[in-house]
Order: sequence, then C-alpha cells, then structure tokens
Amino acid sequence: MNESIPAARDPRRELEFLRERVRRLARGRWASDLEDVAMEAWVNLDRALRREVARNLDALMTRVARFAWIDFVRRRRNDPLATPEDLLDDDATTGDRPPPDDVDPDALAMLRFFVLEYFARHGATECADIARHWFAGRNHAEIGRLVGEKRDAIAKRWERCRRRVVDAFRADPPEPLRGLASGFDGGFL
Amino acid sequence: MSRADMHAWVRARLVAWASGLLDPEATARIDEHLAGCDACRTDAAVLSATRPGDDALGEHIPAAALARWDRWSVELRGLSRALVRQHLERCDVCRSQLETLGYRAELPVVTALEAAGRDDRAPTVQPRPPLARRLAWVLGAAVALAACVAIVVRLVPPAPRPGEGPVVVQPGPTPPDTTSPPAPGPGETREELLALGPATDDAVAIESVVRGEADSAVTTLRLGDRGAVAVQVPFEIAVLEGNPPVTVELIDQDGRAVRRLDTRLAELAPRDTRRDLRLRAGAPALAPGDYRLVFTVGPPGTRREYRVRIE
Repeated sequence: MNESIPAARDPRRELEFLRERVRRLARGRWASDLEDVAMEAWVNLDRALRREVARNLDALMTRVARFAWIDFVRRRRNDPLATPEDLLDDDATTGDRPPPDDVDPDALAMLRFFVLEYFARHGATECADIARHWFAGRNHAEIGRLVGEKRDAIAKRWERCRRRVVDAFRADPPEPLRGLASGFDGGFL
Repeated sequence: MSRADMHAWVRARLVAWASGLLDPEATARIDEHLAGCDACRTDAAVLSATRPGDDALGEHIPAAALARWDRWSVELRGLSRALVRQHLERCDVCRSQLETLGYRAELPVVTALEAAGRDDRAPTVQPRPPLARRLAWVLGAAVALAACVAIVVRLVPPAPRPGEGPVVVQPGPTPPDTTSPPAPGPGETREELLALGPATDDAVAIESVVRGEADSAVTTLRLGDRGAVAVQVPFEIAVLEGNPPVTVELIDQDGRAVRRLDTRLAELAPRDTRRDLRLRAGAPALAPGDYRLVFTVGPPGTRREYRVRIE
C-alpha cells in the first residue's frame, strides 16, 4: 500500500489555506502558536483525505481548521496559567459540540495510541483487536457478537490484556500523560 | 459520596474509562453514573466521537504531537520513547506527515532517555581471589606507587626562590571564530545586500512547511539577470507579536554569515502591509549552493532556520 501523498494534492497549498483560516479565527491573538495549530489541522486533514475523497476540499479544510482551533483554545483554558484572554468563548464559532473543558481529548488520543503500541510491541494482537473495538465505542457484548464469542469470554480476555498494559504504565508512565499519571499512581486504574 | 463528588470522581477517570483501562469495579461505577447523568453521558460520547481526520482510535501518533514534534519528541523517555520509535519504524503515514512538516521522521536513541529495563539487572557478584593472589596484587601496587612518586619528584621543578617570581604564561593567538559573521569592513555595505522592500508578486515563498531539518524542504532562490531575488517573510515570523529586534542571516555551508540584516519585527512584518526581503548579489559573492536563512527574533530568542539553495 502506497502511503505517500497523492500527486494530485498540494500540501503547501493546503497548509497555506489552513494558516489563513486559523489566523482569521485567532483574530490577532496567540500569534506565536498559530503555526502549531495550522500544522495540527494539516495532519488531521491529511488523515481525513487518506480515508476518503473530499467532495468539497475547502469546506473540509475550514472545518478541520476550526476544530484544531477549538482544541487549542481548550488547552489554553486548561492551562493553570490561563489569562482572561484564554477564557474567551470561542465555542460559539462551531455548531459541533466540543469535548468538555475538564476532560483532555489530547490525553485520550495519547493514551489510546500508547495502549495499541504497547500491545503491538508484545505481539498481543488479540488484545489490540479488542482495544480497537472498545475505542470505536463497542462494549464487550457487541465485540463478542462481532467475533463470534460470548461476552464473558471477551471480558475475561480483555481483563488480562488490561492488567498487562496497566502494570507496564504504572511502572513507567508514558511521558506525555504525566497529567494523567496520578491515575496510575493513585489507584485510578 | 455526594453526587458532586461522584461527578468529579467520574470525570477524572473519563479518559481512562474511554480507553478501557479501568478495573471492572471502577468501570461499573462509571457506567452506573453515566446511566443517570445526562451531562456526563453526553460528554463521554463527545469525547469518543471522531471528527474529520481525528485519530481518537489511537492508530497513529496524535496530530497535536506531530505538530509540535520538535518539543514533544524531546520530552519522550522510557517506555513511551520506545513505543513512539517503534511506531515510526513501521508507520509510513506518520513518517510521511512528519517529513511534510519538515521534520526528520526518526526518534534518535539517546541513552539517558531510553527505557531503563535493559540496564537494571543486579550487578554480578565476582568470587573473591585467593589470599596469595590478593597479597601479590597489593605488593605490586605498592611498588608501582613508589615508582610514580620517584618520577614525579625528578620531573617537577623546585619552587621558585624569593625574588624570582612566578612565570607568566602569555595566551596564544585566539583561533578565528568561523561560526560568527566577520565584522563589516570600512565602507562595506553588507546590510544592503539583504534589505527590506515593498512586496512584489514574484517574491519567493520560503518553503512554508519547513520547521525541522528534512532534506525535502529546500527553497530554491534564483538571483536572475539582475542579481537579486525577493523573498517573502515566512509566516511564522510575520505573525509574531510585539516589536522585538530581528536578525536575518544568510549562512553558507562553512557557517559564515554572508548576508545580514538587523531590523525590528514591525519593520520586517508591518501589520498593515506586506514586505519582502531583497537578497542581492555582491561581495562576498553568493556561490551557487546550499545556505541557511536564519531568523533570530529576540527576546525571547525565537530562532527559525530555512534551507535555501541559490542558483
């Protein structure tokens, strides 16, 4: 499978478009962070375009830029050093409901990435498969139906998988999850 | 536990719950709370919902991390560093995205940051040698020490007698510093060879995805018949705030600054208009080849480098 960017696409043009959108959303604020936001938006755009062809690329880019911007504003709000400017309400710019302020979507993406990668490192493909189903919002009963096993069998197998990864993360918490690490030390898991 | 406490307890664990990492008892408590709490149930659903290109399923390095790779990757240590390196080795998508953003798609091995697992073995206990062998070692060491003392006594000159004074060692000539730009000579107009001018339609946009050191991110500058080229001020410099001093340098492969412009951000990137950099031929000549265009904005000392090739 060829994973390179198709020749028909123009990453430079895409990035320039996203920068312009992000700059408009920023309205002159946080200028030094805008490049990060534009880059994050581009990565999300690239991943979206690898999954399906966009019928309206400009509309998709506008949406992706807006989500990246909202995530950025949320991080700023959650920062203990947040300024009054950080607390401005930017969510009114979107009709989609963003994640709640006190839950970190970055931490979720990071944690799931490290979980899957840990299973891949140890060749635990069954564990990774159950995890993917769980991340996609399926419960044990639904996973059981999909793979032709009983719910309890899936639950038991996942419990063994879960213990493996939690033990490893307790011993060596993933660095970007230090904010969540109290969960590893304080019995969250 | 009060309802408010339970609410806080659940929200603190929502990310771990959404990743399936809570133990069965905690999972059951959260499921029970979600069944009776509309707000938490909605938030849990939104947290797990995917958005365009979003990678909430964890199949790739999160976009926020790739976008900040230069800072994020240096914080990785231990198991997480090993896992990210392992992912990069087999994931063409993440590698391709990093390279497009201008980074090297690799995570170098840094001993101090790697997992301790390989080196945390208990030290091996060596059996003690027999007494006769230990005595032989002690005697040998004593003889060697005495020989060293004798040699030092013969080689070290005696302390200076009163009146002779200490010997002053003059420092030698300082080697030329090839990393800093040579000072401009009398009448030299190096600044004019890199100057600011009004925006033009044919100004070259610096390869805008450049952030790291990827080989693919090189902007070609053609000096043309008139020996000059207009270059757009990079986006990430133009959007900086305030009016700090800015130094722009064109540095050749030997590390010498062959062009230099000292200005301020408000001059380089005014809010109400766009200005371009003018790079001109002259002395010292700009030989065709690879250079780095370096912007140093300070304080706080932001530094951005862009690879350019002059033809």
